[in-house]
Amino acid sequence: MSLYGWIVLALSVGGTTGSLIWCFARVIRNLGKTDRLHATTDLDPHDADL
Amino acid sequence: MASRKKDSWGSSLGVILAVTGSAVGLGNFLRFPGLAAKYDGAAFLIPYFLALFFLGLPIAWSEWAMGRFGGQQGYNSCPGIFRSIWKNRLAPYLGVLGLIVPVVIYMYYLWIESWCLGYAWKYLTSQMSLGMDPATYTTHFTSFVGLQTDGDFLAHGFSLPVICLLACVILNFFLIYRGLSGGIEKVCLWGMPLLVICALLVLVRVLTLGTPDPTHPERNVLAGLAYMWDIRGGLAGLLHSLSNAEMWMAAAGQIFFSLSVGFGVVINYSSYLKKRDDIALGSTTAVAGNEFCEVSLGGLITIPAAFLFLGAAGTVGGTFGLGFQTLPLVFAHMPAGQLFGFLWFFLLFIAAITSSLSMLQPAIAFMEEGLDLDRRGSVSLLGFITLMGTGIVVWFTKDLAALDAMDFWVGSFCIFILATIQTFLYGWVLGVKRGREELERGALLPIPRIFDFVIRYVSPVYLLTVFVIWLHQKGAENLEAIRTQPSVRIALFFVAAVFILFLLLIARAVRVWRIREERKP
Repeated sequence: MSLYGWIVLALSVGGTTGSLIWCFARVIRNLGKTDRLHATTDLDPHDADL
Repeated sequence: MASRKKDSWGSSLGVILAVTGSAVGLGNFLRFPGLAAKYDGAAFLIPYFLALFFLGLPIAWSEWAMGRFGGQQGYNSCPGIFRSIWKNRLAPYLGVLGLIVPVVIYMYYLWIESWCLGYAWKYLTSQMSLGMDPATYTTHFTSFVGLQTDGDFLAHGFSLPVICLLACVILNFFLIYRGLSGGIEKVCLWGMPLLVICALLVLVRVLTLGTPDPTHPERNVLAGLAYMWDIRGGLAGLLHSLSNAEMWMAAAGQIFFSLSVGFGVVINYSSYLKKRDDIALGSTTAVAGNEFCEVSLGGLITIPAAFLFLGAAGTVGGTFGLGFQTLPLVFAHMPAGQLFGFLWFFLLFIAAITSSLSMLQPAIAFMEEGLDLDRRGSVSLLGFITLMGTGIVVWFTKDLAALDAMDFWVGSFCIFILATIQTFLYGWVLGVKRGREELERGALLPIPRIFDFVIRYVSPVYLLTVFVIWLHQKGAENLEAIRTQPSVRIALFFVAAVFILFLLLIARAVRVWRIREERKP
């Protein structure tokens, strides 16, 4: 396999595997947490679902 | 809105795995590698990843947002969710596609699922030692499915293929009856890790085969990987491949179907989330999970394995040819092939059942919330409808005519229409501002600002362009099939009947919803 082939393989497989691991790590880290990041409209005091 | 006890997910991990399980199917392990091999390996990945970022991911985000938005208004089904987003009398009727698409796909997907179960059973019980002649595997598949004449599949009474089909029917309805968290979520929580373990075992086997046949030294692991991943013909070859419009179409189609966007399932699943549950990270993780299974597992296993034993000729044959004829021949050549054949078909079975389960939930949600049926009633009614459809598919088996017709007109055509409607609803009716508020509430991941522009302008244009060219390429032959094949006409007549039935049920549901709204203080 040529160098380009290895680069394509590494980027594709590494990219998809890496993004899955990164996403899952964040999901697991936040399991059960109630505080949320990046929220812009979280300030409804009447919200019954809190 | 509803007085019934509301179904819900047990955990955020559960919903992510359920959506991933719905998306991961045979296409990840068979269709994607087949297309990549057909369209010059690495060259295919450029339009593939562009379609992921400009079509798949934005539509997935918008579906999750619309689903949770509808869920907060008390709706879990597509007709109800569309009605909550768009205050137009037509809106709930457009949602019929969100019911008909998964229900009809279920009718034939169940049969394919039973093939995977049957093949896995045959490997487990050492009944798949058919020798090294490729024709034997073709004959075996033809006989297993009953491809030669209509009615052949059912002609042999309680044969293994029929028993497997019945087992899949019972298993699906047993699990769906157990509800969202007790059935679908539990299956996916166990099934998805099991699927990945099976795939990793097969992957390790394939990558450690070296040069299995010394008489063919050119067929080695590196050459197999190169066939899938290398840029054929250098930069000039890459540019030549990229000028192929058909490849761009195939890549967009693969992303679109692989992620199950426009399917009616994601919008239903996300409607069970709570108001402040994260959807940004959840949807992105589900997409990442699907891509991992497709690119990292499917891309490293299927084509390299076929190339190792059969050379380039072994990498063609379409999804069913590659999966049920070529790969069994590959396992026959492979050391410990019976074990790895079992693992492979068992993982395909898990991928299939996590998908088929998801296809029933949208219609069940609609029957529960719109017709006030309980779980038992809605599962029974849906079971009756889908069994009739599956009956038609497994009767008209000659050249898979009924299956292909349903797959084209519902599994492709209607999905395009539904995705276009959803993109329009999100970008232009709900609006990107309200949509973003929905996405960002409880978000554990920032969604890039450019998404608003992409979902409003780029995705619809991309989608419609792909749709028009795809229809131009495939429409004529499928219209011709309706004209010439009675089995296709019967299958589509049944689909039309189910379509009308659901429209009538939606009309009744709308009346029920109106009365409830009028009674509200």
